[in-house]
Amino acid sequence: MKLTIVKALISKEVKQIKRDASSVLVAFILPMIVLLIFGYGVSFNIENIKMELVNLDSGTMSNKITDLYASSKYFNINKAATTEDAQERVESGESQGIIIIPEHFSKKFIHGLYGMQTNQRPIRGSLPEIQIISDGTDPNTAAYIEAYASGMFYQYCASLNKTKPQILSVNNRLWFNSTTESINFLMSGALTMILSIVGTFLTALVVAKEWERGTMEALIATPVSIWEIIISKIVPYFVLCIFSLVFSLLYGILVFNVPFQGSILALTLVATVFITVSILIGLIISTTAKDQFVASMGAMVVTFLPTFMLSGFVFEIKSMPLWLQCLTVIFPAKYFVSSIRTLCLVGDVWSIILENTAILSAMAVFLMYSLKKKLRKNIE
Amino acid sequence: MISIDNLTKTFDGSKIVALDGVSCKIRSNEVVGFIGPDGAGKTTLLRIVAGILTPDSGNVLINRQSLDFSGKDRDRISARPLSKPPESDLMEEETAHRSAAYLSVRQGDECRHSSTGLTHQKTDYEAFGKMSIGQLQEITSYMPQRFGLYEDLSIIENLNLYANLHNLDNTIKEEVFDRVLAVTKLSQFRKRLAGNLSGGMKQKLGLACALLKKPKILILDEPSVGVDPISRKDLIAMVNSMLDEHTTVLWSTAYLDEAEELDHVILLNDGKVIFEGSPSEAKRCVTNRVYVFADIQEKRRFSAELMKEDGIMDSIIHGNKVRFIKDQDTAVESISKNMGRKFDGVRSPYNIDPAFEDACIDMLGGIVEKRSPLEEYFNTTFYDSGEDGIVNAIHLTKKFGRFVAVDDISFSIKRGQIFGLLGPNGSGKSTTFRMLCGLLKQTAGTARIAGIDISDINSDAKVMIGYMAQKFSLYPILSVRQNLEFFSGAYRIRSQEKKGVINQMLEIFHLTNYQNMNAAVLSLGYKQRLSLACAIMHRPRVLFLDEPTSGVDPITRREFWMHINTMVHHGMSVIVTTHFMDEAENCDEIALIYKGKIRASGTPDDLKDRCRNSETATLEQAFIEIIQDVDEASP
Repeated sequence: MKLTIVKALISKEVKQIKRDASSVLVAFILPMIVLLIFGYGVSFNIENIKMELVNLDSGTMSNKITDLYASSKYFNINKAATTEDAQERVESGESQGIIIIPEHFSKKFIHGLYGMQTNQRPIRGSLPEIQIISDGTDPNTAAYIEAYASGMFYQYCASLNKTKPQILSVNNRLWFNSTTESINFLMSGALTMILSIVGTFLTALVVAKEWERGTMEALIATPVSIWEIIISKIVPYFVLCIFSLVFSLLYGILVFNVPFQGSILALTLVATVFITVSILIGLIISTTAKDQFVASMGAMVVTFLPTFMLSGFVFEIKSMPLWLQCLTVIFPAKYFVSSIRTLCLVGDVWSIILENTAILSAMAVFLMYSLKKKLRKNIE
Repeated sequence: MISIDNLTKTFDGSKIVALDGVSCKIRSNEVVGFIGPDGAGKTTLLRIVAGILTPDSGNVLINRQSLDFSGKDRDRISARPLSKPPESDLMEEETAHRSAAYLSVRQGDECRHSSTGLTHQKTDYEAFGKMSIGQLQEITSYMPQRFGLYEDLSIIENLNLYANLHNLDNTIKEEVFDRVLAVTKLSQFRKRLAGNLSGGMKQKLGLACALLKKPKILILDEPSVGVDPISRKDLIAMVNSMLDEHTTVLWSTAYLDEAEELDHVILLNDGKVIFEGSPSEAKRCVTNRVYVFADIQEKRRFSAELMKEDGIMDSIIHGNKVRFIKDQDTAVESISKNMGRKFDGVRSPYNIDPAFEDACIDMLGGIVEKRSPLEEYFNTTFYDSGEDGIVNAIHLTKKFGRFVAVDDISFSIKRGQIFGLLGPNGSGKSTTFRMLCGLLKQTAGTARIAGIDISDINSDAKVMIGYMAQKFSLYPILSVRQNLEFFSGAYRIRSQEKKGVINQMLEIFHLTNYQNMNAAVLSLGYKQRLSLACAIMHRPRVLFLDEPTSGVDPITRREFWMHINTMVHHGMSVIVTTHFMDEAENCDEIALIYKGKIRASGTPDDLKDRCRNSETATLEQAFIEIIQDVDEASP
């Protein structure tokens, strides 16, 4: 590899990026738009969801819980007399779910709260429980209902006593996303989407453009090696991605007050690998599709759509059918979404960061290998 | 020396055979032309020699070293010293071999099969070791068809990039840039983006980029395609002035007149070598077989009748002359006598020097189709509408922002005439053309067709017009028949007639066997036939042709013009733009447009008469002189 050649190619690439308004648009304006849409436009916060509440208990605690839900802005509670009534209303579509407070709830609750030693395991069946049933036809809303309802229950319990009562389920994410603002966990997905577009989309187009205009043909007939071409394509777009990432992150933090609990080191580590993977995918797409139209379609199908739908960013991976869950494993977006989400909301959980980085690195190595095999100095 | 040994290359799962056992030799330090119609295999061959395409089988030897396409060494290789056989021995041996080859041609007598006479001796293909692609690319410069320029980089940035890619020494860089910019006359545009240059300038810049580091082998793939005669002349001059005697040039072109000026040509057709040798050698085969009838009144009917005579291989109209090639066995006297019987006052034809194109047509077997079946199809004759002309352009002007593309152009085209719009790239001729057929709205002035203002023409009146675009506006994923069906609907052919018309078109243009094939997979010649069929099936009164024959082989071009001439004979009017001077010779009237104005108009002979030495002038010289005069008057 010759430094002069790489330098010449990189400087060419930089000039082209600077002169092409669309790359600036994609790298900086698009993130703003995406974050604006997710920040204001698309609200995944649920409010005024119609719920049935069946109180089978007659104690004081159950009344307090009923009041808790009834006064919440998230739920619009209808008190049903029997479980059957409530079920009917859910089946007819009038309500989205049921909260059931079982018999002896108050008794168990008070017993659990005050009557037990802290280190003594409670006997099975004597735990205070509420049951949350949600309409599974919309798994996404269902997941949110479950999370909000159980979260509120937990918070209420915690406000009475610091020791955790064990209830049906506590949604982890809600737990950390204490303000329950959807932008906070959508941020991770938005960032992934932005990096996929800048990294994969732009590079896919850029190489395809060279094929389309016939410049690639001239380039490969010169004494340039494959690695020089690959490096000169990766470096400028890598830098562009980093700029875009920093810009979007600052924008999210400053404009939407998205928390960032992690360290720069952890972010750099996982972002570097993910950006490399994105760019490599872009390059592989362009070597396969030699015109811009096919390349953009390819980039769309391989990165954009999976990032949106299969990364756990909008739709819960857990609520997907098993085969689809298996499919999500091969898309890099999933790992980056989970890393950024952890970094933003929790902090440096190294077990998660390192695992994701390792998987992404393995992908990068594999992609680099296949790119080298695919991109030969040949026009076929 | 480059030896190409039995190269075969197929594409698309061996469905398309691009090269079918091509063998030829390229001597060092010569300019060698690769000529042939589109799809003949020129580009494939050049790409293989440039090392960017791997052949299915066969060998390329460069100075006796066989190119290693295996791919193991595809990255740059350490500068391993080339094991060169002594150069002088090689040259001697080569000359000996070549004279033997010439001899075999002459003995073979039948010029048409001269390539089979050139049976290369096996020893020429014995390799003295291997050359990697990396090594090849160190000594080669390649300019692909679209020049390989970065349109969003300036001239100087493009030069800089290619200088670095070719490892040009930093210390001499500026000096080299100054030199190439001076030769290309691009010095004053150093900072202009390549995308904003005209076609001719792009071409020169592309060539300049390829010539930065004096290559041992220079490969130019159709550097002159779609370029006007002036830019083409400049290009050849540039190659000659910038190279020293140690460069071998591989130059592919579809223009046969361009090939005439080269040292050595290799004619390809359908992936096979048809001829290999010098153009003058090729011409020798048709010496004393090319004749001209002068001062012909009804030139189109005369040419058509002449074609029907026995022993005529080709006949074309040149101004008011008709030029023809006869076969070896037919005496010119009998042709003259037969024609004299059909036409009054025919003087006997005189012999002229053949052109390379004549030789090519002869080698390709001459024109097979002797008459156009359209004669029957165009049974109705169009008569004068009583006006001065069927097409009238009156003070047409077109401005794009502040730029005046067409500046007050007026002309008229009569019934049954062919009107040629000529001009360099970017002169305004395409803009004029588009305004006339209603594709572009003029800024000022009017355009009338059969008395109707083109901007008022409703779609009913548009059936008077037929239009054939440069890139053939066919639907690639529709079959041949479906394309015809579509256009028959678009041109309002009555549904009860449709089937008959389509079948007639399929028959006339020999498309019946291909009717269910998609238009995309047709060869260029067939695409051209199909798009002509689509444009004329409704018997238009005016036919618009926008560079209809670029890249098509000479035989197909002759057939094309035979069809056009037949329809014109029945009163159809044709307006055509072209870069081929022999097509311009076929026009009744020519308007030469340059910098938005008509600079000269008249018959082809009128234009030639205006030349400084009008006796020997060709239309091309007239073209060049007129434009130079304009440039001198207002630089």
